[in-house]
This record gives sequence, C-alpha cells and structure tokens, in this order.
Amino acid sequence: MRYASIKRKKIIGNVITYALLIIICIGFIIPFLWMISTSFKQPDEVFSPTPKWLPREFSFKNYVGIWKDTFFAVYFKNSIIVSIITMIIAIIIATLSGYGISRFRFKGKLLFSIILIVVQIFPGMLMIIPLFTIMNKLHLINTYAALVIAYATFAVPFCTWMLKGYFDTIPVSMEEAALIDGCNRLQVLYKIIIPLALPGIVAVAMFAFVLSWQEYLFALTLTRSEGMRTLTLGIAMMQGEHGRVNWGQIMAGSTIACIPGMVIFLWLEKYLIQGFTMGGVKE
Amino acid sequence: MYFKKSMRNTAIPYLFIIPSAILIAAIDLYPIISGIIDSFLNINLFINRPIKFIGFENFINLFKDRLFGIAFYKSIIWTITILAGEMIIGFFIAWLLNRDIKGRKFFRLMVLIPWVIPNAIAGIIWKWIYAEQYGLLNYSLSKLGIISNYKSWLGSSNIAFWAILTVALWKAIPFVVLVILAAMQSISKDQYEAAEVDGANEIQKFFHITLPSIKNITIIVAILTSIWNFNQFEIIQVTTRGGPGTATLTMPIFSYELFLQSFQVSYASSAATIMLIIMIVPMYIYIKNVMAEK
Repeated sequence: MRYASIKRKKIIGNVITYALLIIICIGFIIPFLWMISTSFKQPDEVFSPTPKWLPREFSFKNYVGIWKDTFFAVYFKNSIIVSIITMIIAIIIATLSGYGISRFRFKGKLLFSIILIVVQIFPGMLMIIPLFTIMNKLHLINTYAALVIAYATFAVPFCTWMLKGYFDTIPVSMEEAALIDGCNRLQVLYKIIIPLALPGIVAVAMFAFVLSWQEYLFALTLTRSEGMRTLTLGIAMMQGEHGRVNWGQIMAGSTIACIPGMVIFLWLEKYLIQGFTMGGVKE
Repeated sequence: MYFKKSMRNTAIPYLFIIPSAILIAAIDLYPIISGIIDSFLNINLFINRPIKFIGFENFINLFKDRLFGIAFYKSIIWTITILAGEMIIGFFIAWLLNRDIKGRKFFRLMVLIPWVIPNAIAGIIWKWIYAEQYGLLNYSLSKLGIISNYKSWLGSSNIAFWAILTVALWKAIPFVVLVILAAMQSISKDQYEAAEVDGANEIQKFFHITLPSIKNITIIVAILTSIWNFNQFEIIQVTTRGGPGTATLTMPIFSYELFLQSFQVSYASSAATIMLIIMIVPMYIYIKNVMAEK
C-alpha cells in the first residue's frame, strides 16, 4: 500500500518534470526556429498577416539573394579573414604564456595571473573610447589590423588559462629528458608539448575564432566603410536601415552567422565553463 | 607540475609570457588608464581647444545630468532584475535537469541554444519577433486571445525596456544552467541518500545539501553574469538604441552615444569611469572566489 503510493508519487513527479522541461525547451528554442523558418520563406510569406510555422516550400531565395544583392559576401570574407588571423595570433601567444605559467615559478606570477583574470572579464565597453583614440592616432581605423589586435588581446587571457590547465596535465619528465639531450626550450615546446596538447590547442583556437566571429561593439566602432564591416555588424546595419526591412534575407544572414558558434560552443562547452569558473566545475 | 630546480633559468619564464604581457599592457591596461585620465580632461573632438585638466568637473556635470540619472537607474534595475531572473529560472532548470530523467542531453542542448547565438544576432531575431505588423508575438498572442489589438513592443516606452530585458534574460539563463548543473552533478550521491534515510524532502535537500555545496560557484556565476549584463550593449544597440525616448537608455548606451554621437570624449569617459567604479567590488569578490577555486 505504502509502496504503491510512493510509486504513484514518483510517476506524477516525473510527468511534471518532463512537462516542465518540454515547455521550457520550447520557449528557449522558438526564436531560433523562427529565424530558420523565416530564412526559408518567400517574401510574401515573410510579410503575411497570418504567419505559418513552416515555409510553404523550403526556398533558398533569401540565401542566394543576400549573397548576390547585398554586401554580405564582403562581410563574410572580412569575418573569415579577421577571425582566422586573430585565431592564429591568439593561439601562438597564449601557447607561450600558458606554457610559461604552467611550468615555471617566477616573480610576478601571481600578479600576472590576477591581471589575466581581471582583463578576461573586463568589459570592452570601458576600453572602447580610449582604444578608438589610440587606433585613430595610429591610423588603424577601418583596417583589419585594428580588429585583429583588439580581438587577439581579448582572446589571449582566456586561452592562456585554458591551455595552462591542459599543460598541467602533461608530465614534465619527457621535457626534462629532452632538455638533457640538448634541446632548447622552444624545441621542447614544439616537439613535445604541442603534439601532446594538440586537442587542447585546437579547442582553444576554435574559441578564439568564434569570439572574433561574434564580436559587434569593436567592429561597430573601429570600422567606417561598408567594405570593412564584419558579418554581425553588417547584418545589424541591414535591419537598422530605414524603409522596408528584408527580414527574409536578414534571417538567412543571421542563420549563417550563428553556425560557427553553434558548432564550436556546443562541442567545447565543458572547456569553456571550466575556463570561466577556473576548474570549479568537475565533470 | 614544475621543472626541477636544476632545469630552471631565471630569465626564461619571462620570455614565454612577454608577448601576452605586451599585448595586454598595450590594448587592455593602457586604454583603461588613459580612459580614467581622459575623464579628468576636457577633450571634445568637435571643439578644437587646448586640452587641460579640469578636475572633477565632468563628474559633477554627470551627477547634474538628467539623462545620466536615468541611465544609472535603468542600469541598476536592468542588472538586478536579470540577476534575479536568471538565478531563479537557471537554478530551477538545473534542478530539473539534475533529476533522474531520460534525455537529459537533449533537453540540455535545447536550453543551451540561446547561449551560442551572438548577442547582436539575438537582438535582431527578437526584433523580428517583436515586429508590430508581421511579428510572431503579436500574431500568437492575439490568436490565443491574450491581446485584442497589436502592440508596439519596441515602440512604446512602457513595454520596450521589459521587452529588451526579456531578450537579455533569455540569453543569460543558459550559462547559469550550465554552470550550476555541472556543479550539482559533482555533489556526491551519498549525502542525498543519507538525507533521504532521515526523511528529508526535496526542498530540505536543496537548501541543506545542494546550495551549501555550490555556494562558491554560485557567487562566481552571479558576479560574472552581472558584469556581462551590466555592460550589455549589443542587444540594446541593435534593437532600440536606448529608445524610445529614454526607455532603454542604460549606462553603456549612454556612454557610447555621448562618445560616437557627440564626440564628448572626456565626458563619455567619465561615465565609463563611474561604471568601472561600480564594478570594482564585484570584481574583487569574483577574483577572490576564483582564486579560492584554483
């Protein structure tokens, strides 16, 4: 009798849990699904007084249109170039500093570590005004260089921490043997450490890529001409224009802009959480 | 794991960290300091005049500035509301996902979606949903009979602030869920089993076992997300840019508009400096907790 009531209670509890989870999940993904659905609709369906969930037929018109009729291809190219260069620079610098704090004790290490943590969470908003002035003086406004320098700097602290954690798990004995055999420190790094830490390095590189791919504030401030805009900025500008906004195309562009973040964040999610909370979260 | 003493060399570690130290000094630290200095000067890119030190004049003007008062107030409401919302909803979802359920991975993935969308794009998607004439929200609500005539979600000053806040909240919750869920999963099952033997119910277990075990990580995530939310710029900028009127004028928008619209570099810098001052204590607590976790 008592057993049956506990069991019934458990079933009711489970039903409520699933029901709540389903409702919550629907709420969370509706905007995302709406973006994708709109991107495949024809203009008359997009601007319909009775919107439907599914497009009449899945049409790639918006994807073709945004690519051909607007500057989208240019934005896309800019984002690819800036993100890849940022990724390469950030990963080289972060590998060096991550290895440095993983393997050595030195004066100022605590200070350096604290600075890394502070700048990692430091909002770009507070730096944008002086950084604009500096870039202006250096005649770097409206260049890839301005964006790459800014993005690489924002990526480095986080990447350094994540890589340090990765290097910490690699035993030091192989390096010591190599040093005795006459390798120098840099040789040790690229002959032994980098091959062993490759999965971690790739993960961190991907993160740096997405960081610059998704960025908006600095692109908005440090670029001037249409031809220098990055993807998120370019799309935002399209919907800010006056007159009739072509939502079909904008949602197509937005869908494309979401892809790298989706793939990479969902893949690396555990790493990223650990990076932000410094290993406080265990699997 | 460190090298043995014989393998150490005093100059070598610095060679490894120098590239990042230079980059951080030039692109992070120098602008921060120069921004603070600028806020005591009288730089205005529209007016060509000798730059001089004017003490606290910018700050005094800010406190007299009606718009700054509004922005300050809006930012506080904005940050606290989102913090409360993301914590309550985030904890609740994490708690649901931590129960003994099937398909946890799937549900978790669905909840994560808003997190992986870039801020600016999230703003744009919601602007389309909120659109007055062809937007999904007006259509759905009127079909469900909740509203009788279409509302201008982003166009009316009473609603716009809450409409945009919803977007930021939707974007903020997944990270909280992710961190809290991972922390909950690291608590050993034995504690719960012992409590069950003693006859504790779900609520007692939550407050006496779960919450104390993840206190530190909760503080970290609360501060981290609040710093992000306080500085939220993208979502507001792509949707309402502070408007209509001053409905969504938070401090980042206020400071940015001063700078890029009217080029009052020093005045805008002093607003940014006040934002920095507001963040000092939370940042200090964050660093202390993060260092404790290590």
